[in-house]
Amino acid sequence: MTKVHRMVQLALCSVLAASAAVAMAEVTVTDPWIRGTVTGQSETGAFMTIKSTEALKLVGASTPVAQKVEIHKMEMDQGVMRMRPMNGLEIPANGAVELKPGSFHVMLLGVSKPLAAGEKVPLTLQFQNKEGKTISTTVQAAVRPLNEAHGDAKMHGDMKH
Amino acid sequence: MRTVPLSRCSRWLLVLAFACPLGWAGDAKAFNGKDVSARKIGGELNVPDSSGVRRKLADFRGKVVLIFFGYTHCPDVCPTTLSRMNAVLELLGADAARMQVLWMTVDPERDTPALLSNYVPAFNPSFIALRGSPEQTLRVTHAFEIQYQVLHYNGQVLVDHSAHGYLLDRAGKVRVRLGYDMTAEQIAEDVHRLLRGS
Repeated sequence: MTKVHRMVQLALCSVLAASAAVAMAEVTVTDPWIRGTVTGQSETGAFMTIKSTEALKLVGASTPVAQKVEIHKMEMDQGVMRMRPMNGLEIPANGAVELKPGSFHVMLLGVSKPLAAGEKVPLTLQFQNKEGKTISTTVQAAVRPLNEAHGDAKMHGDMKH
Repeated sequence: MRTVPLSRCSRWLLVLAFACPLGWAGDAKAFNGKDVSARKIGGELNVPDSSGVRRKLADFRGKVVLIFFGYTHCPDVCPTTLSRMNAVLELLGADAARMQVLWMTVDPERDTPALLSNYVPAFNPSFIALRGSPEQTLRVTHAFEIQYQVLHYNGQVLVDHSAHGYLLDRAGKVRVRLGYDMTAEQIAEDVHRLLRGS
């Protein structure tokens, strides 16, 4: 009985140790926000800055407010704006990747009801490390007004030259 | 005496000498955007706005018109552009009343009049959303040299479109092409130049 108990304890310990090893990759998500929507608008974008102590790949995301969530890249090709789904977004070790208007965003598809400014929306981000282990983190993304100009670097004149 | 016509002549030369550098300076920095006055871009709109009223360029005679194209399901470029247009109006102050912002959808199938009526005024109540039939959309985008493509991919709709816009002068002529990377300040300066009549 005690032996079994001990074994369970050991097993539990190793599980904890394994999760601790995975948790070594410390993911920090700063300033997560979602652009608010109006009635009838079923898609919107989420933006944030992601940092990790270990090289990871953002492979997916989910939220109760959208049927489907994807990682998208916006690119300009000779003045034409294209948005394309990505298989994953690399987060380099100790580097910060900014998801902002004009580059990457988390795309919320099938948003059933309008998202009003001030609401908090849970957004779960799924990452994969080099060993293929999945790490998830849930953040509370703040809904900002549809006309939020945040991240519009060009408007504030601090664009890269 | 022969000196009189000479001094009259030199007086003219002086006037020219002062006038020319001023003229050149004005031309050298005409607009922050691309001056397309000499190009044949644009044409009559003749498309309904989101409330169903058919809009023509003559409706905005006397005002500088700023026109952009996009779609409401766009998470990135379109709301950023519309927010920037609102910033342009704020920078213009009292002159904002002498300008009209038009935003035309390139995705009329999904952008219903009801959705456009909710979406576009959320940026500024004075903005007018235009929604043409597929044929009208093709006609207007072609006239304004706007490319767009609606793609169906993996159950979702992807819309590629040109991100630039234009400023039309108070007579409705396309004068300045506005790049996506222009700041609100640069656009407001160009609007002021057009309002001053350059």
